[in-house]
Amino acid sequence: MSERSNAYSERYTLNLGPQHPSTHGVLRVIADFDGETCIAADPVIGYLHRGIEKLLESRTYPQGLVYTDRLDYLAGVNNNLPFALAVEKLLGVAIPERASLLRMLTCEIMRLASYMVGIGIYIMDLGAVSGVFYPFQQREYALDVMSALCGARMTQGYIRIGGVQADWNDEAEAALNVLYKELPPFIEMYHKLVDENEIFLRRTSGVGVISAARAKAYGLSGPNLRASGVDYDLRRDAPYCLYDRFKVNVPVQTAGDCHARYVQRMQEVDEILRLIHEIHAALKETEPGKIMGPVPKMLRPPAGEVYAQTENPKGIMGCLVASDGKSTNPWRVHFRRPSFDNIAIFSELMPGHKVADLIAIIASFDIVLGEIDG
Amino acid sequence: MTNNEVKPKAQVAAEIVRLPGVAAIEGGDCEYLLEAAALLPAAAYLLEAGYEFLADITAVDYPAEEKFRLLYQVANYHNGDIITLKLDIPREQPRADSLCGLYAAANWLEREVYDMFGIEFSGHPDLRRILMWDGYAGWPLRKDFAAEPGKYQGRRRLD
Repeated sequence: MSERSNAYSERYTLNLGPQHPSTHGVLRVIADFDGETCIAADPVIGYLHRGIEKLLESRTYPQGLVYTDRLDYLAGVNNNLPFALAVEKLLGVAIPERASLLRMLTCEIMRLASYMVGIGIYIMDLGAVSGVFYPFQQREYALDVMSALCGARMTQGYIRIGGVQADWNDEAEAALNVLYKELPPFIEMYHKLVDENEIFLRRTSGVGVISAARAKAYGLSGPNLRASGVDYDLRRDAPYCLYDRFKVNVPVQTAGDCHARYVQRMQEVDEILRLIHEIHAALKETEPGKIMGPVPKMLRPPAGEVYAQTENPKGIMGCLVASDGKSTNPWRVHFRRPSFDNIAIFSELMPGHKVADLIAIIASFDIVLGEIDG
Repeated sequence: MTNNEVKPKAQVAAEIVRLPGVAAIEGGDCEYLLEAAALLPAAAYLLEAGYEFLADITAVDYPAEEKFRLLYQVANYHNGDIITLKLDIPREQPRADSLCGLYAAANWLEREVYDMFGIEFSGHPDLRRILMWDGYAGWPLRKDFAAEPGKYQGRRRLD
């Protein structure tokens, strides 16, 4: 039988990225295809590696804190938190109640902003370009709150070792009220826009299925983990700050495919909004003014290795701080960056899928390369 | 939902020190200092005990003591408890056993440690640089690697 009488396919290697919008920055995937079907995928990372961990060894603790914003730059405040918690654990300082509430409030606001980007870009990568503008508008309302609170939109550095930078103010209150007013109708509208869209469903249902067992083996965390049916959220299961005072409901999906990861994020947005309301109400009950704990100007923590972890928009972020007890600079800082651990599963997940599905998989993970590359 | 049971921290603390080469660190919260041969049995025990979440592997360089300290943060998907395994290895020809056979997550985490510190992991299926490019010389996070501000470190070739 001649080769032409049969449908045959050609093997080739495709370089996905690093310079393409659908790779969410500078992710590069070297994928081998047999015709349209992926047979091997090797993610190549490091294009955005800035050596933040090395840089922190030559900065003092407060100076180092601002570098953490640049990891997951879509949710800067959330990255400050594990570093601040680790250093505070080393120092043994207590944080005022109001500062803790402000930390939680800003973290939830930035979590919302990050989810808006995650959902919007996801839909855009699947071809619905207008789907990105609506969530970005909502994100802008969230960033307005941060801007009014501390003067910076994205890399805020709002959380300081020992507390927070600025107290809640009227301008931030007004901006948050705008968010309260705008977000619920948006969510309703977006559900109508996307949920039952035939193209969206076809491109995501049954694509990139991760079983709970594989998700655990690869150390997935955050929404990507919960979309695979593992019911785990640090805010509920190991509360830090004052999360133990609030009821954190954790939505869980079972399908583990790209569609479940979208549904998961949309359901979590409702929860985040409810949490913001509750934390905001609790914040109003506390006396204004006390937002910094007793922290000396010059930080020289005792020797030791401490580890702190928080639930970030992308998953569980960990921070190891090692101090030699003599210097004002940390001896070593290491970050567990959730996106880094999440995408390690790509080389197992992608084979068997078509070219277009690879884009859906990358988009559904909501990755940030600043975080992956460190 | 799909979660299985996990042994409480106190029970792990009582049981893990019975393994040869595992010693509890005083004052630490579930931190254990291991001998090189004890790493795989300790990790296997923790996996059996429900600690399925290998959260982190990293190293700290202590040149004055001529050692690297490897830190393994082993957690679970239930209550946020972390068991920290610490393993001191010599700075000359540093080498440790790979956990890839137990945790798939170890693959990239160990590659990162290899990339930054030059620590070899025996039994790793694919030990190559991950953040720096292939052919890069030096181990950036070692203390004797001097960061030179302003020095252009070369460009990565697409090949």
